[in-house]
Amino acid sequence: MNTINIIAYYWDLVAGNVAYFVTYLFDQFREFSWVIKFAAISLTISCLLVLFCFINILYRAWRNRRLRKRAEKMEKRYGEAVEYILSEESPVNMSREAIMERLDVKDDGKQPLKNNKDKMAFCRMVYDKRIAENAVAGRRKNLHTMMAIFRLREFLEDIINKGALRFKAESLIMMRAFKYPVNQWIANTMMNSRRKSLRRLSMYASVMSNSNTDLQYFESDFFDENCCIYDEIQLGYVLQRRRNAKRQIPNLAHWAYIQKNPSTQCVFIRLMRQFDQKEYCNELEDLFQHDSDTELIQEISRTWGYLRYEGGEPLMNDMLLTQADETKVAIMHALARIGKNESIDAFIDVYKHSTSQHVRFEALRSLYNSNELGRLRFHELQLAANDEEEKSLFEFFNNPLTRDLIELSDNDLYSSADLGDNIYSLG
Amino acid sequence: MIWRTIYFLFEYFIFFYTATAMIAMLLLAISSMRAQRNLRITLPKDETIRYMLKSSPLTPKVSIIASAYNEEVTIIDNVRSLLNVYYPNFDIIIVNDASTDKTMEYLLDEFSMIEVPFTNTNRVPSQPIKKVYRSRREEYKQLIVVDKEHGGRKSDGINAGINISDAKYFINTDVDCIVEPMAVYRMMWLVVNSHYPMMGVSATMLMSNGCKIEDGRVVKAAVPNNPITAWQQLEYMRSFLNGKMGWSSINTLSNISGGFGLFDTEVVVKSGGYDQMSMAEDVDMLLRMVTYMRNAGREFRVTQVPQVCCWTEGPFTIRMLYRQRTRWARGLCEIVSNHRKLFFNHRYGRHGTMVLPYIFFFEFLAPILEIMGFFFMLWLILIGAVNWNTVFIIYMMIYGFTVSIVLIVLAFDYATKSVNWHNTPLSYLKLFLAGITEPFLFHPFITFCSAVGYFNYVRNSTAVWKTIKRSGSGTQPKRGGQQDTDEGSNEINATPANA
Repeated sequence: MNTINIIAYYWDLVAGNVAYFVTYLFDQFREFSWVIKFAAISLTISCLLVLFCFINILYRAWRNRRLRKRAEKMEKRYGEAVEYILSEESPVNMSREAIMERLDVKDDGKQPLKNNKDKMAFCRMVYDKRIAENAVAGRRKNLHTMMAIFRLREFLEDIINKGALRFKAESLIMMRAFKYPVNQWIANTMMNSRRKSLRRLSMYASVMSNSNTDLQYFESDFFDENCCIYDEIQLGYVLQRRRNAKRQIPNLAHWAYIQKNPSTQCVFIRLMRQFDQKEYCNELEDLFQHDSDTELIQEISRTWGYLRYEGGEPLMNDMLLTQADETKVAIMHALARIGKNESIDAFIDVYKHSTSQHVRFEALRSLYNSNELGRLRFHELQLAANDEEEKSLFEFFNNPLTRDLIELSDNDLYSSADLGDNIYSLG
Repeated sequence: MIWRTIYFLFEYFIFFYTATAMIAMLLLAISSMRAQRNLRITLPKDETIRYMLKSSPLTPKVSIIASAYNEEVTIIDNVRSLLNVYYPNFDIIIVNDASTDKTMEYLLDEFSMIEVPFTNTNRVPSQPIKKVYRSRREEYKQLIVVDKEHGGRKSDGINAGINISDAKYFINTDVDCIVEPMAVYRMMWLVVNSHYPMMGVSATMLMSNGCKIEDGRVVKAAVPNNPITAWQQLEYMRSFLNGKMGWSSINTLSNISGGFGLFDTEVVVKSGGYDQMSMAEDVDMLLRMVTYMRNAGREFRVTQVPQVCCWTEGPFTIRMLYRQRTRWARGLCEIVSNHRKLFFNHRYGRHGTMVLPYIFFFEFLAPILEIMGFFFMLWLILIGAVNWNTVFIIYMMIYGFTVSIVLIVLAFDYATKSVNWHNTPLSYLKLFLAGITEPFLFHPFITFCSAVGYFNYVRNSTAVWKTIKRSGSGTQPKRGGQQDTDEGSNEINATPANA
């Protein structure tokens, strides 16, 4: 009762002062019209709101500071042991007892981490160490045993199920990094989020875990409409995981064909190069002939060139002269990589009839790199060059320092995928 | 009677103008809070971003383009700073705008450059390119040096860089900028994750004056002791953390700073590249990109990174500051004049209905009204028509509001500190002192500079790009002379619009 009285007293005091201040302000504007009074009140409210914002941000910053201190405490207590458990120095499959001994934790049935904040801080620390440069993805069993000691998998699942949005996302990222299978029902809790990035995150979590239906997402309308560069990178990791596990890589040309959005189609076509899918190149012929999107035509040309798909050569030769400059260059490079004699005349045509110096140079470059006959015709053109402008185009082919740069490098079109020990790609 | 009517109209106009400006600032602060909250949810830690992107061969290529004119004093250290950037797939294009000093010699010598074949794609207009060089050494394989004929402006150099670049995205920067190693990752993460075509990403910049710099990196950040640079530091923070973050949350950013900004090359090319004659080429470029995208009926996003990505050297004398601000004021006049068709034009979306009117009323008109208000107040004092109680309340309210905004910005800085820059109480105290003195000293000076800039624009006098002094970025070793001339490329070009 006393407490309520005290609160009521202070409330009266504060409210009274505020009321006095507002009345005082209002009195100052008594002589003015109601419009001025309204504006003055609006400004007062604005000032109060600004102060509120300030206090709010300060509170958040203070809270973050506390989190940081907690993380520092966790690092001091467990950091060294966790680093050892995840490092190459540790045995591949450490026992539960050995890990507990390392962590200096007693097996008395009590939870060593007292509350959820400690658990989260521990998870964050493990996550940071796992993704750090020197973390070894192969110590997954040690990681899982350590997490089981603290019952952290259940903790993360619980957050994804019931936690705030921010923590849900963070937990899902951690579960993926720790290579825990994410159940469909857990991912479903975020599938309907209004934030597309979170929906996508949950989809990928599901993709990483479920082996039967995992790739349906890439055929979905959601993927077609919302595909971005992140998807391309993630899909690269997903397919690399399959390749590492000796599982079949799906037909990417078919996916490119069934999607409608050109940028999504380009993603699949680019990935065909990365996964050496030469056997499916013929499925792109229809798209190449009938689609008007220049970016798509360029990507198909690059893929055919990179994979040396000879079936594409007549189609590209037919279309070469009618395309815009950038597409011409992409097709010429592809033809040069395939290196058939039929393309030589096409390169010379482009060299003779193009008005752009850039395109002419690229035509010469393609001619030079195509095959022996191409090199021969190149030298004939070089001897026949009359004016200074033409001669300057040939200049760099004679310089031994720069001749290497004339060669068409496959690295420009992504080297054959080796994603290293990235935790997202390893199975 | 007429005077009385004018008096009342002016009084009412100023009152409502101020009220609207303050409410707009407040809304920007709230939008900025919202944007930062969203980023906290979706933006992972630096290490996670790096780990996710560095191993993938699909990570998009980025060209970092910097134009240099007579930068022999700092060019080597600045290029080294750019080479420190962490990113798996990038090149650095330094465009030498026919320097008359030893800039080119130093570059060729230090980085073992050799001439390589090139063809000018001429996608955007620029002065002819004479030669292109690449390094023979593996550690500098990302470096490309372009030697071109003199264009006189930074924008010409950037256009030449765009013509050479084959990357899907490019970053426009100044050679005197010290770049944070994680900057490109932070910016590209937003591009990579965007469901809509990301047209540009603006980076937060701070002053390098007063910072300790070693090997092209800021190793210890500090608020400058010089009040001129401290005020500018606060101004930058207010502009980037409050203004631009706020605009960014509703996809209405109007300016990607010329100091460090990422662009989609295709959109820039289709918008015609940088305007070689503009004094505010950064704002102009973005508005032309917006115009192009709106006319083409394409969706786009422009966003702001709250973390510090770049450090730039600000003017540290009154004279340099005066020159910079009068130039900015002229640039603002050009923007208002050249893009007038966007005003209240719903065809250009929020940029037409919100941003351009905001720029016109609260950035362009503000100095004019402030000067008018000053003389009006003097006149009222002379005729004894001032109610001092009311004046005191209104002035205190406005001053309180200004200081509150400063506090909000400092709190943003404290909250976002991904890199722990201003982590000492002394730094915050300095910035707070700068904030409480700014309305009396710095702001009137800036208003005066703006008025002079407007006057120059009206008089149509030719803009003169004069010599500026370089302090050589903190502790960096210096080469060559003490002073360099500037015709735009090394002038401090970041325009923190929406301040």
